[in-house]
Amino acid sequence: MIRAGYFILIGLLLAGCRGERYFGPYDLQVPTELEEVAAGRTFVFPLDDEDNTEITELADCLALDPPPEMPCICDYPILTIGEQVARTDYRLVHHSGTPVNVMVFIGREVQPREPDPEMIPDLPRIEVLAEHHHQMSIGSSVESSFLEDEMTEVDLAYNAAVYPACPGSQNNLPAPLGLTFGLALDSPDATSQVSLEFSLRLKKND
Amino acid sequence: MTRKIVLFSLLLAALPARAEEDECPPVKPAVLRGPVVRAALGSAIWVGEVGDASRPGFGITIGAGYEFTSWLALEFSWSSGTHDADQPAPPAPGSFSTQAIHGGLRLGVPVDSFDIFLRGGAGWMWSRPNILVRIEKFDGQVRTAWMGGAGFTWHTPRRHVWVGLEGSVLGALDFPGMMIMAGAVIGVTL
Repeated sequence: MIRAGYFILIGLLLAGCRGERYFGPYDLQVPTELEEVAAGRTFVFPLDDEDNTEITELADCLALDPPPEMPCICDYPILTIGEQVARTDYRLVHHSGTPVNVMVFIGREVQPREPDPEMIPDLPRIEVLAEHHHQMSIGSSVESSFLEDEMTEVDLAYNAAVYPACPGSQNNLPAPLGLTFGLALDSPDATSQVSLEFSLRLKKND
Repeated sequence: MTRKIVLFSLLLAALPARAEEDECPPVKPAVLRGPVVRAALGSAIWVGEVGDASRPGFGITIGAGYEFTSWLALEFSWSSGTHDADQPAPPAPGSFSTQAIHGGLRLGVPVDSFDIFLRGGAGWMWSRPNILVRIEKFDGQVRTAWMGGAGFTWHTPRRHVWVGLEGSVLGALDFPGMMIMAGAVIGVTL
């Protein structure tokens, strides 16, 4: 009985110190005001004091002449994959039109030197890193999540695309500083109105 | 035979003394005052905006204090409540906990073996994580907090131990809700 009391007490204390933060909810709707059938929003991950110190160190490294053999970001990653765990929760609502297939995606905007991936109509510069597809009838809604494992896969895919030269264990690899979340109708001629509301939960790892 | 007579005589001699003892009024144990510790466990519910977006939960309080007199005590306490969110998705269902640390005074009225009391105090309070995303000020920040409560305790025949029922209201400045806690309390006077 006393031991159970201790567990309850410790649980309550830890519950207040879980290091979880929620962001959002954010709204997107298609078609957009420009009649586009895809919409996205870039979420920039918050940085703490330690991350800001690493930005300074990264800047110092980038200023070295000659530049070091290893890309500076590998030695001074601002965020690492193991540093935090994200989860994205969302709700899709089909307001009007015809039955439609909807893709909810997480992606990255490619860098200027990279060619357009053209994976999403109306968002040609977004490379999709994770996607969910939902077949929706008029008036229906869907609640779902990109769970922690999927988000880690997103981080790894981002890392492989942007920082392929960085060695090291998975947890210490550089993570994205921002990701694009959005929705796209699979059929470009659809007249359906669909909205996406999403939120992020970030959990710091010790 | 002589031995039996002696024993019988002793028994007779003892009887009046026993009868005299029975005539004495029972001595009530004095209620101890001094340093105290207590723990309370019960239900906790939010009212206000936070209440609209959460379900009733449970709460716990652990406190310590010093009773200067039968009617005045200085108290310090830590309270915690855990609640499930009750809001539209997103986010997915989850829970949050509230922590509060207070210092304050307890004013009591002793009635026989009971104490009826009011208490009030100030301190800090925070609720995390900020899962109620549609309530702007439910942001996980530590805020200046207040607390008020009432209840009664009964000093049990076991002299150091007392039990009772108590309720309290916890709030914070610029925070969109108040947490009402009610439960049973057990305490020890050290």
